[in-house]
Amino acid sequence: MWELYLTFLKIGAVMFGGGYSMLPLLMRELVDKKKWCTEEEVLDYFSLAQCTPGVIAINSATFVGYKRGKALGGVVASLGVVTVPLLMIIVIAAVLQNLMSYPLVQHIFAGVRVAVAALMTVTIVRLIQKAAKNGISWVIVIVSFLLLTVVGLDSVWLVLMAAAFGIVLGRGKRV
Amino acid sequence: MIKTILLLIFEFMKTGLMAVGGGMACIRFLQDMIAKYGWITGEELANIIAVAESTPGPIGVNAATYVGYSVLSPYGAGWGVLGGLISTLSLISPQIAVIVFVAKGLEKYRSSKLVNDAFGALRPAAAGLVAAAGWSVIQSSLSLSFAPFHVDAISLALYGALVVLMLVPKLKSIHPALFLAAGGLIGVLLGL
Repeated sequence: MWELYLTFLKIGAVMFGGGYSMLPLLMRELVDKKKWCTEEEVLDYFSLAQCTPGVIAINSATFVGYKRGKALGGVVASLGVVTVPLLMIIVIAAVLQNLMSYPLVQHIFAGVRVAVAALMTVTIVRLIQKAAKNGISWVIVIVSFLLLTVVGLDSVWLVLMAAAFGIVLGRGKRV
Repeated sequence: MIKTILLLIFEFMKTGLMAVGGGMACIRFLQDMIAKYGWITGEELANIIAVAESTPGPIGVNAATYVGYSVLSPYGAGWGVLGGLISTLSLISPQIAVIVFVAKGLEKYRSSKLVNDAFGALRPAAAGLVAAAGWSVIQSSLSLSFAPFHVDAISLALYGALVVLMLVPKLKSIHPALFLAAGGLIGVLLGL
């Protein structure tokens, strides 16, 4: 268990840029070094982690943790992933709050925010390319966007409506 | 304050349970939250996304920690730490429970027609969700509004240039944090 925690502590501490960057790390740590899983298993967990709600990295960690030590293993692995980021963000948040009153810092963040907007735009373009494969999925992407931005629908309702719509439509493919 | 803590727990558990599409989808849920309770501004959230993107760890977790800290830190730094801890644990606990449940019947979940049908529509919906999250960030970062129309021209130019650069295939391997750093530098040089 301790080893499980430390392994995911390490993964959480070096993963940059969110869940998608986690796959190569999982391969290296779990398949090559620890030999806890096969490559296929990791790929499998990773694709399933995207078909379950919530943060992808936590889902992947819970799958691997569960395989090693059932429910407790899942909890231990997930706590491992969040430990370092949690501490780091709290420190940064505390420091930044004090720095935000300086004009220099405000200018920096005005520029950084524009870069974040650009980064999100590119992520969205790639995500839509992946998700919108036919006419109906294009319609779902566009209608979802409009419902949230123009109508102001709560995200929870959008997710529930989309799930219901998919079930009624009945055309999903096996992951 | 007790009410705020309970709201944090409730809202982040909801996010962890419902945010299909990973960390970026969580951002949209955070936007819903701040629209409802006015805990932080859209600008602050964009700053938080920047920090979450450029520090190690899952973006959803990083953003949750930061928001939790920001919401409770007016009561004191200790409360801020508690806020970060509460929101992160609330975010991850429902999904851990879901995964443990799924992992028990992995084959059943994977081949369930209901699950696959639902996700057939949830995947494109999640893309729309993330697009809506991005749209809010674009609006607040470029001071964009429509009635009356207004946009910060310098920010718009910087935004366009960065998007084009990021789409160049050769630059794909450049770490996102470097683009954020470039944005910060230009922000200072141009006095944004």
